[in-house]
Amino acid sequence: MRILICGVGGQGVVLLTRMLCETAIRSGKRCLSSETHRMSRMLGSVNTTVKIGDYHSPEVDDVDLLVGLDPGETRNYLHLAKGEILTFGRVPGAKTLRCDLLSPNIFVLGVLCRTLFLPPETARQTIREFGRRVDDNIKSFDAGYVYEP
Amino acid sequence: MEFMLGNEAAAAAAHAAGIRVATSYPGTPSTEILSTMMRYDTLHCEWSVNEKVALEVAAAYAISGVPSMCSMKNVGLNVASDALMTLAYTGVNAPLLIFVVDTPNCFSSQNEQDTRWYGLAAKVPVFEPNSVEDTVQCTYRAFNASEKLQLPVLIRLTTRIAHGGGGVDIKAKKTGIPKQVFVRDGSRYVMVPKNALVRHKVLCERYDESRNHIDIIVEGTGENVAVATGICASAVRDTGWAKLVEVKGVPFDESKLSRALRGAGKVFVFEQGSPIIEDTVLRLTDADVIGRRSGHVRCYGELGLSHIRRILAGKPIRDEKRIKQRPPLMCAGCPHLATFFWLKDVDKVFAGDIGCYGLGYNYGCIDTCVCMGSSIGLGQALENSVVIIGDSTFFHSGIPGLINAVNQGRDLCVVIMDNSTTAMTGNQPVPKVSIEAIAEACGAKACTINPYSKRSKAVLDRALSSSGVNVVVSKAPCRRDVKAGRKYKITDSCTDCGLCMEIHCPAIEKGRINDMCVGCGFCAHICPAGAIK
Ligand code: SF4
Ligand code: SF4
Repeated sequence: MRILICGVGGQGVVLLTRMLCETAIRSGKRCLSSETHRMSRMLGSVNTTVKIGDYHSPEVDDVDLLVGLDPGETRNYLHLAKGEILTFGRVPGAKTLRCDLLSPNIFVLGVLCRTLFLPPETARQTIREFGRRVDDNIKSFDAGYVYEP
Repeated sequence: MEFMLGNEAAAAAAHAAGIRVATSYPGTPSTEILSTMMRYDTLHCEWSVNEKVALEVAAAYAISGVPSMCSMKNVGLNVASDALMTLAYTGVNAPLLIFVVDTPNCFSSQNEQDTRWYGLAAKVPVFEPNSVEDTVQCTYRAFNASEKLQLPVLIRLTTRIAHGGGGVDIKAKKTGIPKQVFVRDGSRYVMVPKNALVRHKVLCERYDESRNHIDIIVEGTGENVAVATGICASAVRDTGWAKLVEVKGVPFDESKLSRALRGAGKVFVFEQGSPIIEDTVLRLTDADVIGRRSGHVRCYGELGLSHIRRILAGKPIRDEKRIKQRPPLMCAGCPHLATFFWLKDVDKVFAGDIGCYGLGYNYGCIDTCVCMGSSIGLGQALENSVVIIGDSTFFHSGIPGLINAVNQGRDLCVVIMDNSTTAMTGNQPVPKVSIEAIAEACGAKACTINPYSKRSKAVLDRALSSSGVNVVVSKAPCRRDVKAGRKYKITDSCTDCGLCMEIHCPAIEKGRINDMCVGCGFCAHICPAGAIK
């Protein structure tokens, strides 16, 4: 499963990526990631890749799942998408995510956990160990986990 | 299995191997190596003033028997290289690992230089891991090699690995902290010509021996061979190519590689940066070699998975689709925005430098940015210029340029944006030394302004038109080091003059202030109608 997650600085793309990978590894899967933008200034484009399964390089050329926290950024990567597209905002051919909770990125973690069949309790454990805004994050995660796009 | 970034894995493995001293100057994408190390039990960790000092400090411990390491980004090694070239001669008595992160594609650096050239120039081995997981193994290998060869060794990561993530298993082996002992031996540590020549001979022998520490891994069989190193080897594995020869660094045992290439029809060579392994392959085989020299691989940019797939399939590679990247902006309320606001009508060439204020380029207020400290070096000789440099960059390599400007009798205004931190890389500490005192000791005139105050404009204007070297320290903390205040609002008395928009604060939109406002109050202070409350 090859995934590309995109958004802009401040939306928590990097944290979402990390929690997704931690959850995958803890549930016994092989998982690789990469991020190429780390000047954590506001509003700049941020994208990360996640590969779950038997891979060696974290790079993607096509993606099986494109996840956008910002519709403008999602549109940038449509040419790579060979499977499902999940995004906030409206993008042609994509399933729309909607979340007015405090942690939209953790909401997406919930959505991804279900899409990728990762155990939700492992994800909740990851959120708890992260230790910041635990209640909000668990609430957002649970909402994402039952969300029907 | 634990999930880690490559940088975290590097630090964890180094510590597990027995490294007890770590130094660095922050630089994306290498910063997390030292910040991770700082979480462990060590003898000494420091953010040094620059990479050269960082390497010298680490080397002093390694010479004194304490396993040490130093980490930096690619361009950092330019600064540290002076020390490296001769530390290879002196050698070390305990392992000295130098982690350097290269940035193919210029993801976060000003160039794409290939660190392996430094290894070749200094005659020290360079280890090149292919993944986060492999970073752990390479670090152990490098530690052992450094111990046996008594040489500093380089470990070259690239962005995809340093900021890549993966599952790793690390078991701490060594515990305890060895005692620091320096044993006098002028013939080793005083590199006057007669000693240096002797040491160079020793180095040549050790360097030759270091080939035995760099692995060559042969996987699969097939007529057409893909030779790869670093992340490229992982990409080749993902393409499922039948025969892969992975070279785990330089220098390597050429006869081994030659054997692996025997009978090959075609040889593909994939490496990030320069055709270093490729040139050896060209010497070793008569087969067709597909790589940079043959024109199949670009001489610039990242050699990505999609490129490798296309080249193996015999297709030409294309430049990536240009994606409209949104540039990063300065934070709401950033003191640099206020300083730039006072300089916005100044008709001069803005010689900029490396740091958050370099983002001023996105607003059209930086005209040059080359390398750390270059603002003062270039700025003093560019016609009609003003220098913009940050505190950390000034300490790093701005001071010699300042002395030079004074010594050459230049007329130059140097604005030092002092936010008391290294903000760009995540707010690492800077020396607690008075910049004003340094500037005055260098023979410049110095004064301090508060960027948020209206009085700053007059002070800057005076400094800009005075003769001699005038340093203006614009001092206010990075917004990430202060608590956010109340949010400001634009009221009905707004006359739509548009002045507040010229601050470029990301919280100010046309006619309203958004949620990003951190309450610095600058817009309210400058609004001529007093409409921002
Ligand atoms: S991190 Fe600090 S210095 Fe950098 S843009 Fe933000 S407020 Fe300004
Ligand atoms: S007070 Fe004004 S200038 Fe300061 S952060 Fe808020 S909107 Fe930006």
